[in-house]
Amino acid sequence: MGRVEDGDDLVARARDDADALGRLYERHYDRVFAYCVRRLFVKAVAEDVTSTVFLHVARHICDFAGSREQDFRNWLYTIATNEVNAYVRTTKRRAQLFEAAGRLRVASQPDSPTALDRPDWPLLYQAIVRLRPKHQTVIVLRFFEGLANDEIAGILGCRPATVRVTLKRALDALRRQLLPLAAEASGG
Amino acid sequence: MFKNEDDFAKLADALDVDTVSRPDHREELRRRMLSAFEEARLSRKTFRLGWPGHRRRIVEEQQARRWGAIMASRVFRYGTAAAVVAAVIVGVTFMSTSPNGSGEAWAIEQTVAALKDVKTVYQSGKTYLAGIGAAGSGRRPKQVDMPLSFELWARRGSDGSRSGDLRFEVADGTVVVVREKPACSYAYDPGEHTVRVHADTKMVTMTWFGAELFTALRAKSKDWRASYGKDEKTGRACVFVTCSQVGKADDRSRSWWWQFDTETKLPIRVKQWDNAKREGTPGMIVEKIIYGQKLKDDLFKFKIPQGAKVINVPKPTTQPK
Repeated sequence: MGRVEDGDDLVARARDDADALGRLYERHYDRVFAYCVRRLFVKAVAEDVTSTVFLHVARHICDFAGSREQDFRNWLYTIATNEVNAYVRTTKRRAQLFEAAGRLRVASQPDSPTALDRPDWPLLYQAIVRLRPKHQTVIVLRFFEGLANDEIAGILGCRPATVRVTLKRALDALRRQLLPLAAEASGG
Repeated sequence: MFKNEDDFAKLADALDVDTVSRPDHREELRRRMLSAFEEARLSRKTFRLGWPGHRRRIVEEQQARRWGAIMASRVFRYGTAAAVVAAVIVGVTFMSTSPNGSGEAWAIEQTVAALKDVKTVYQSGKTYLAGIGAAGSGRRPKQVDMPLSFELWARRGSDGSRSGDLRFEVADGTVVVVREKPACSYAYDPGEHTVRVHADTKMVTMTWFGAELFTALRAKSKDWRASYGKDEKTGRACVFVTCSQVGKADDRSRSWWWQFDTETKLPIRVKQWDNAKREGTPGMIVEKIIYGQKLKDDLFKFKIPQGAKVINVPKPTTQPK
């Protein structure tokens, strides 16, 4: 409880206090970076996007309307999601990320017999990155970041019911993408 | 294959995704973020033009702070850094050469007074020069087609006459850091992934000027011309100055376009060409200058990038000029 209050206090002070902003950064850097890695696979790209996110925060924290640390966290996710989606919206970049994951998959598990049942991360990422950015977003936020539907709805600015429907469609699409990739990985 | 959400959740939980970050990036981003924060905050408080009362606010800030001296460079050791620094030298010079001595905005005494107590300066803008040059080595910055953004921070030195700590960053990854105490300079070249360390030496220095230096620089300046007008964005009264300086060698010739705010007396924008006739695209454009900003010590600490080759450069026998 004390920690939550502390975080809220930092958010209140961060608009005009560099130390408070610095402490918030320390508390949330890993989360944002991890989210970017899960969305972008390549760490160097994730670093670039993470940088953009926090520089945006630095320049716009004065306009941030939230009062709780959870609001701040959701704001970070919103900025990061926008930046990541802007990045992966380019077909060429998505192809590059797909290839990067493919290289790692081939190098580590050239003939995984269990690829269909237990896809490894590079294989799963290849399937995810082929989805529409909106579908990528809800899958990563829900299953890798562990957020509830209403939290995702807050980040994306939509209703929880919309998230639920989007999630179902995203998983269907993921399944369709994963099938041929897993078959290929299994040597089928 | 997963059948439903729960199934997929278990699959995702079991995956081993490496999300460990690099401490270097974390640290560097923290510094950049806080710097951007300070800059944005100062900008909001002091230099936001166009909002009600901004003129009064600027005058109040001026009176409160007593703007101090600005700086210049004599040591063109690093190409791009030197380009920025050089611009400031001549910009200040031409403030003292106001046309016909007529514009009250351009009385040298006012300029000197306005810049008298400035202890730090920040610049940002664009450069068409990439990489680091070194005098006498044949290495020069390369002209690039797409402009690179840059930032420069500098403090006045302890003796009051020259710069002390300085940091210069270009978007291509070039970083130059100069520390005053103990004297040391670092130049990171991202193309070579090397850091040149000059121990006991301030390879890029800038001199904080007074009236005496303005006069001296004025004598060296050629074909200066000043015209009065308004800022195209804010409508504020400004003075636009063009000038050039012909060097002994072609690569030392420079020409400039300057914009000064007649109310604050401060230069607010600069363009610099690496020729005497303002031909072609400017090699450097300073779009923003902030005076008197508080600069943290961390800004002038240099961290060797991971995997970079470190080259210790021997101290020159004579100080370059």
